[in-house]
Amino acid sequence: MGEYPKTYEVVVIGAGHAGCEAALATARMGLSTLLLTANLDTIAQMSCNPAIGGLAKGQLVREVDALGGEMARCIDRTGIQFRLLNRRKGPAVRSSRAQADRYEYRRYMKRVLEEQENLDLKQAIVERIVAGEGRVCGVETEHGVYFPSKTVIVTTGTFLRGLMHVGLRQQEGGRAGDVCVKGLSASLESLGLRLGRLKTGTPPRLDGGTIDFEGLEPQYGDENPRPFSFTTREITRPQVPCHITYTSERTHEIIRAGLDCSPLYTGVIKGTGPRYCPSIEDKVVRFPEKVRHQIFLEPESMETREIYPNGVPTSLSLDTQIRFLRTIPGLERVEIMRPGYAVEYDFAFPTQLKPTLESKQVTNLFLAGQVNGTSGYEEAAAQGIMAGINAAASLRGEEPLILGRSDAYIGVLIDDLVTHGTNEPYRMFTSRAEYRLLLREDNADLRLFEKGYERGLLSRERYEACARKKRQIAAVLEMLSERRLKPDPPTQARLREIGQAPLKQPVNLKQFLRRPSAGVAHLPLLGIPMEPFDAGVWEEVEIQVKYESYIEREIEEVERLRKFENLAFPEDMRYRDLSGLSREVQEKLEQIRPVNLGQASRISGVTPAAIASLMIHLKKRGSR
Amino acid sequence: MKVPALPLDGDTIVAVSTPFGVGGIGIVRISGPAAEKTAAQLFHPKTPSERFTSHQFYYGHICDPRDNSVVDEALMVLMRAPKTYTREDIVEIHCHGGALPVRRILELVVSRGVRPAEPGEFTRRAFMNGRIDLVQAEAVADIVEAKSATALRFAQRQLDGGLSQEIRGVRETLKDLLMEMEAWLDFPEEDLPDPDFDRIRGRIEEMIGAVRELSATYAEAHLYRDGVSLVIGGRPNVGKSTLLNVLVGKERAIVSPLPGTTRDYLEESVVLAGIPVRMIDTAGLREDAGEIEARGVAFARRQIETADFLLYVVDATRLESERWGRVADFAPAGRTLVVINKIDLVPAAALESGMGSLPPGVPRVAVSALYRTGIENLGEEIERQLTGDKLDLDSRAVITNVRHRQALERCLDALERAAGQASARPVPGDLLAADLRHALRALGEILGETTPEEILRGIFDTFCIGK
Ligand SMILES: Nc1nc2c(ncn2[C@@H]2O[C@H](COP(=O)(O)OP(=O)(O)OP(=O)(O)O)[C@@H](O)[C@H]2O)c(=O)[nH]1
Ligand SMILES: [Mg+2]
Repeated sequence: MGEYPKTYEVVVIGAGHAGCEAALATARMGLSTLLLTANLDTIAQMSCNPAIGGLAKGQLVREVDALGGEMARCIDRTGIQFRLLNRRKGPAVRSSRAQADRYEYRRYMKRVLEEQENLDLKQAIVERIVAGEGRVCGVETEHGVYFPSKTVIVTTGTFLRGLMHVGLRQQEGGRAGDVCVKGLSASLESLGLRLGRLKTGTPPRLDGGTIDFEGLEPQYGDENPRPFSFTTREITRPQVPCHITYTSERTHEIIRAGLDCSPLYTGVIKGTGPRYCPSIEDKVVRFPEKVRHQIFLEPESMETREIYPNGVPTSLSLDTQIRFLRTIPGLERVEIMRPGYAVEYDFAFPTQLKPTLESKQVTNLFLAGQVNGTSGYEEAAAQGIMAGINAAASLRGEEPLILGRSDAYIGVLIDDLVTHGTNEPYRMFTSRAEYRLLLREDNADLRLFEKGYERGLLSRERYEACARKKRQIAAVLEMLSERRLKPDPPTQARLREIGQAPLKQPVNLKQFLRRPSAGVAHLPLLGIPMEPFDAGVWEEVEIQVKYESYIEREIEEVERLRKFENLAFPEDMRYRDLSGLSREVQEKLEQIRPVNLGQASRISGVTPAAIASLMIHLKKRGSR
Repeated sequence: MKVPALPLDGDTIVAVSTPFGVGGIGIVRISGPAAEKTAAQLFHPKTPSERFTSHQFYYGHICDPRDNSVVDEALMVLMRAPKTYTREDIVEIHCHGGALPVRRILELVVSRGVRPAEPGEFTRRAFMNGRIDLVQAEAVADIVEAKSATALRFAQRQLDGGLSQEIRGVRETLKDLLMEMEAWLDFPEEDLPDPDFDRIRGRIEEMIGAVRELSATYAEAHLYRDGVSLVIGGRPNVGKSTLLNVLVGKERAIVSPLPGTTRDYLEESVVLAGIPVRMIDTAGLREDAGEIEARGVAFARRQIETADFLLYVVDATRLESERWGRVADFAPAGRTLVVINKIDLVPAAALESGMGSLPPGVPRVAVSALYRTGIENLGEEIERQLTGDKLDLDSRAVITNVRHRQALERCLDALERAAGQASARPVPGDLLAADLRHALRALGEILGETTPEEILRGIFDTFCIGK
C-alpha cells in the first residue's frame, strides 16, 4: 500500500501496559497518535499473573495515576480482589495489590483507547523503524505500509525474537498463542542499539473445575478495598477469594526427576531469568532444605474456570508438569488447560537511553517497558507514561520530565535502568528506594500532581482537588502544632475515657499524636473540632506527624545531594577530552552520558577523584 | 595551635592524602624537592631500578632504614615536577589503608626531615604554583569539605587493620539484619517467618556497645592523626635549644652560652611513639628583655598557653630561683613536664635537695642535654604523658580520624533509634529499616557503600523468593 496518507506525531509500537500508557499520554496531550498492535484482542493483556500492584508496584501504579495514567482506574474497575499489603508494617511499605479479571481488564483498556481523542488504534506488525540522519521518520509494517511519524515509542515487551520453551520443545512467539516479532530486532540493531537476551517464565493454567478447593485455605480480599486511583470513590465489583496450597516432598521428587527435560538445566535457555521469580524447578534445586513451596490459586476471570497457580512457573516438560501438579493438595485431579513455559526474548540495554527514555543513538526514538529489560506490568506502565510525556516534550521543544529518586519510584526505576542497566528482568522493590519513607502510596498524588497537570495530563478539576488537599493538610498541621492539651481535670478525664494515659504536662496536639496508640480519630473525642475533610487528608496528616523526624531526616539528605543533582552536564560534554579522568572512567561516562553530577556519581566505577575532576571542569565551564 | 605554613622554598611536606579518596588503601603523599630522595631511602622496589621513571607505579616494600625491617607492602609513584598537582616533585606511597601502616610510613618520612603538611596545604601549593586557579581550588575544597553523602561515600579510608575489621563486623551484622527486614517488608506474600524482634533488638544493642567503644577510642587516639604541639619553654639560657637539638637529633637551633640567644621561635617535627609532634623552641622568659627579644618573649608566652604540651626547662644549678607560682599561671595544667637540665653541673645530693623546691605532684625528669644523659628517660616520659598510658595501639582498634568518628556517632544515633523501634509493638518496619539503613550508610562513609543490590542479592541467596 505504500505510504500512509497521514503523518502522526507519535507512533507507539505495541499495546501492552507500556504502550497503552504511552499512547494515552501523548493523545491526551493533544498529539496525533497511532497505536499499533500485533493483535487487537490482546490489548493490555496480562501475560503472566492476573494481578496488579504488590510491594513497590502499588506505589508505581499510584504514581502513574497521579500523573494522569490509566492503569489504576482500569484495575479499580476490573479488580476482583483487593488487598492492602503490609498494613501493620508502616505506611512507607504499605502497597495495594489486586487480582484482576484479565478479560475485563483488557476490554476496559481497549475501550479507553478507542474512545480517546487523537488516538488511532490499528492491528499491524511493525517490521522496521525508519530513520534518517539519526532521527526517526516512521515505521513500516509487514504488509509494506509506511506510517510516517515524528516520534516512535517502542513498547514491544517480550515479543522481540520471542522463543518459548516447554520441556525441550521450542516454539517461536512472545506469548502462548501469539506471534513472534522478528524484523524489529534487526531494525533496532541496524539503528545502532545493542540487544541482549532475557528469560522469564509462567506457570501452567489450570481448569478450576478439576480443583478441589474444599480443604484449601482461602484468602479473602480486604473488607473495605482501597482503590488504586485517587479518582476512584469506591470499589463496587464483588470480591472473590484466592486459595493457598503447597508443594510437597513428593512434588519435589518428580520435579528433580524431570530436570533432564528442563531447558533451564540442560543449557538450552541462554537468557538470564529473574532471581525473584524463579521457576519451581529452580526453587527445588536451590533450596533443597525447603520441604514445601507456597502456591496461590488465583482466578483468571469471572468468565472462565481457568486458574493461575502463582508460585509454580515452569518450563519442565508437559508430562512432568501434570505429574508434579497432581501431588499438590487440591490438585489431585487437576487438568492443565495451557502449559507453563519459559520465554526468551530480546531486550535493548537500557543504558542506551537517556533519562527521558529516548534513545541516545536515534533522536525521537523512545523505548519503554519490558523491551528495556524490566518485568512487570507496573514497571512497564510507568515507563510508558514517561516515554509518552517526554516524546511530547521533545516534539514541543519543552523541558523533559525527569523524576528524581526522591520524587517517585518511577524516578528510581528509570535512573536505575539508564545508569546501571540490568542483566536480569528488572523488578521494583521498596528496598531499591533510598528515600522509601518519602515515596509512599498515600502521598503519590501530592508528590506528582503538579507535574501531571503541567504536562496537560490532569484536568483542571483534578488539579484543584489535589491543591485543595495539600492546603487542607497544611492547615491541619498548623492547627495541631498550635493547639495544646492541658493536664486539666476535664482533659484528663476524657483521656481516661479513650484509654489514653493522662498528661504530665501541656503538649501540643502533634506531640499527643506521636503517642504510638494515639490517632486523629481521638481528636473529636478530646473536644477538638475536626473539619469535614476527606479521609485522605487525615491519613496524610497522621503519617506526617508520626513520621515527622524520620521524614525530615530523609528530606535533609535529599537537600544535601541536590547540589550534585543540580550540576548538569552540557549535552555536548566530551568526556574523552577531560583531564584528570582515567581512561576507564572516561569510557564509562561516554557510555552513560549522565545528565548531572548526581547521576555520574552513581555510575559504578566512577571514582571520587573523577567526581572531583568533573566538578572542577563543570565549574570552569560555568565560569567561562 | 596551628601556625600556618609558609610556602617555603626547599621545604618538603608530607600528609596522608585524603581529598581524592579511592578507598581501601592509604596514600602518603610527599611534595617538595626532597620527595624523591626520601622515597629512595624508604622504598625498595621489587625489581630494583637505577632511577624511578616519572609517573609510573612501582611495586615494592617500605622499609625502615634503621634496621631494614619491612613496614608495609606498597605501590610508589614518583611524579616529577612540573606535571604534578603541586607542580613540585610528588611521591605517593600507596599502602594498606590501615592507620597503622599509614602512620608508620608517615613517621618514617617525617624522620627523614619532611614536615607534616598543614590541612589543605597541597591544594594551597598547587594554587600558589599556578597549577590551579582559585575556582578549582575552591572546588577541591568543596569536595574535601562536602558533608554530602555522595561526596563522603567516596571518602578515603584510612583504617587500622583491626579497626576496619571491627567496623566490618558491625557492618556485616547490620547487613544481615537489614536483609532480614527488607525481605520481610518487600515480600509479605512469601512464606517467610516473621523476624524475631527481640533477637534483633539484642543484636542492635550488641552493635551499640561495639560502636560506642570504638567511638570512645577517638578522644585518646586522634592525636596519632592530628599530632600535637610541644613547646619547650623556660627562662633564658637553661638549655632549651640544646634540648630541642637533642630531641630532634640534629643541630637545628643555635646554642650559645649567652642568655637570650633564641629570640624568635623555631619548630621542628618529629614522631614520638607514633605521634607526630611539632616541637617548638621559644625565647627564654625574662622580664628585662630588649625590644626584639621582648616580642619573642611575648610570643613564647602565647605559644606556651596554646601548646598541647609544655616542656618547662629549668637549670639544675638555679632551682631555687625559679618562681614556681608564676610558672603555674601559664603552664597548661596536666600537660606540663618539668625538665631539670644541666644535672652534670650539680652533685646528686644537691640535686635531690634542690628538687624539694619544686611544687609537689608536678612530673619531672632530670637530664643533661649537653651530655645526653636521661634523654631516653625523658623521651619515655613524654610519650607516657602524650598517650596517657591509655593506649596500646598495636593491639587495639582505635579511631584516629575525626570524620570516622563522626560517622560512628551517626551510626550510633541511628542504632539507638533502631533499638527503640525494635521494642515497639507492632514494630514499625519501615522506620526500623530506615534506622538500620542510616546506620549502614554511616559506616559506608568509613568502609564504602553497601548498595541496595547487595542487600537484594543477599535476600535472594538466603530466602526462597518467588511467589
Ligand atoms: N653543662 C651543661 N651545659 C648545658 C646543658 N644544656 C645546655 N647547656 C649550655 O647552656 C647554654 C645555653 O644553652 P641554650 O640551649 O642556648 O639555652 P636556651 O635556653 O636556648 O637559651 P636562650 O635561647 O638564650 O633562652 C649553652 O652554652 C649550652 O651549651 C647541660 O645539660 N649541661
Ligand atoms: Mg635558645
